[in-house]
Amino acid sequence: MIQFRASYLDGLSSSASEVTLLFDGAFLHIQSVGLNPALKFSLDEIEITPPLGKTNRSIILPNGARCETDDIGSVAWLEDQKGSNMLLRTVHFLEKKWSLTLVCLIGLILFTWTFMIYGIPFLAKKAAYSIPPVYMEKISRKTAELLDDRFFKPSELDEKDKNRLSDIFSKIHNENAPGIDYRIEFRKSPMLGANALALPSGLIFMTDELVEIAQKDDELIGIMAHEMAHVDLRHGVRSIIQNTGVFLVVSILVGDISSITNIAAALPTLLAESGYSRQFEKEADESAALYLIHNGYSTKPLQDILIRITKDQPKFPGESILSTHPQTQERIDFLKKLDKPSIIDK
Amino acid sequence: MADLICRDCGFSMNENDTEKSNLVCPKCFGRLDLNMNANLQKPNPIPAPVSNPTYQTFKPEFTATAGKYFRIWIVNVFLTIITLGIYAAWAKVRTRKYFYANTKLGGHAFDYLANPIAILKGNLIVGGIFIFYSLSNNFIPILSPFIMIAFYAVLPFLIYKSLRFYAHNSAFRNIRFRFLGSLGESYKMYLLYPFLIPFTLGFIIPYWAFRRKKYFLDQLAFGTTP
Repeated sequence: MIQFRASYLDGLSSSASEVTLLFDGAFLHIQSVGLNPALKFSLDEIEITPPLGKTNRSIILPNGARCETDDIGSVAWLEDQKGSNMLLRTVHFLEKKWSLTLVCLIGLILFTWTFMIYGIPFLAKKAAYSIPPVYMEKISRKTAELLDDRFFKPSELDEKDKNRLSDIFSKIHNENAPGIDYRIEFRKSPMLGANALALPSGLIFMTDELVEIAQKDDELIGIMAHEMAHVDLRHGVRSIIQNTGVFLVVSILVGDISSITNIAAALPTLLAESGYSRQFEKEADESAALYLIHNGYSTKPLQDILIRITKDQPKFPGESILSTHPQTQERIDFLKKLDKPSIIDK
Repeated sequence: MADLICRDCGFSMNENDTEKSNLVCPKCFGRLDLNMNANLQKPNPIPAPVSNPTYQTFKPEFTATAGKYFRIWIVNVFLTIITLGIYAAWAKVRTRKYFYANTKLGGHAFDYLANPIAILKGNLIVGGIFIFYSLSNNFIPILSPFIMIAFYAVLPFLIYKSLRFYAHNSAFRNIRFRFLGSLGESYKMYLLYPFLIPFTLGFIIPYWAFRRKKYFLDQLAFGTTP
């Protein structure tokens, strides 16, 4: 049995009248001088607003009226009898103590971290492998048009060189993954410098600058195998999906801080994306190295050309933040590590 | 005799002649205001009978604290992330409820009554549109301009619906607010004005912001009795 005072708000006018609420174990009685006869409801008929800080609580009656009170202890007791709001009561419990809020904060960081590192790449991989090849062709066509429009000029290489490199490309294609429709095309690109790009459809672009920087064809074999691995492992589509995922997670995280959303959302997104692209480069390097080693080559030529590509890269102002140089060193160390067993074998 | 309180440093004093004092705080040179709280200690929750209307002035009070809101916010973000965004609807209601419940007028708090399930449905629709747009942008780029046009065409309708929803779920003393603006006006606010921005070199933006506020606040009504 419990008794407490509340303001009775009938929902028809804004007037309030002071009432006394009495719960006798079976019914909730609402009594006041102005309310005649007294109202009586069972616990199943009423609804209790969930607890929130130390704010007033209301009991919603089936006739649309509300009893608002600052006696939150009595309402909590009544709520316990009714057994309602279990989930939001748990939420309220978490909000009540600084220690539990801290636990939530740590949990939030850990969960986000794990989800970004394992969850998003895993889901993106699943999704990427379920996309039909027709769509791969469609995305690639658009990207190829854009590249030709903005970054590429027609190749100025000799036909002889192009044919020789295309033959090497076909050979790797047959040895590596004959199932995919790989093609190679050459373009001049002062903007990109020595570089090679793979589109999801299997179309691989190699710049004239890269061919010129190569001291022997062996070096380009490693690059071709690396680009084919990007296609085979569907890195292009995976990165699109992953970046969308990161954007969604970041917008949930900073959704409340609307004024600084732009800066707050851009930086973690950028960092996560560069992290993912490093991971993809590593996977492609590994795949290329395995191909090279398996077919009796060494990864040394690939290491050599990677160093030269890095030196040749046009410098952009933003590059110092996401520096590529230590990354190249990391990649070379990784290739060396993969190379070692094959040297011992021989 | 008037009870004066400084807006900036909280310094209070009794001034017998308000006109002479120039209303400047002697301590920090901030502005002095009449201390209304002195008259507000005993708010009368029962309004006077309609037959004999008397007017009372109530000053709104805001009692929320940063520490409490910080905890609500962290728990909200945590639960939203671990439920992959589903809890966002409940988080929204909880945040609004917290600010409403701490905004009091004459001893009574405002209340936000929205059903989180309704907000969840809205979130799912918006999320679906975003995912569809983002994917089509990459996979079927030819579709994306049409999706953009369709989106801008329905946006004023969605905003109109959400303003109605927002007003309908805001209540004071168990009486809901209502939004009486028209759908046509919404198209004017959210389709016509943005369209004029490039032609006015952006100078219309402040006026647009003013008109948007006016659109909502001018058409906001409390209760149904005139």
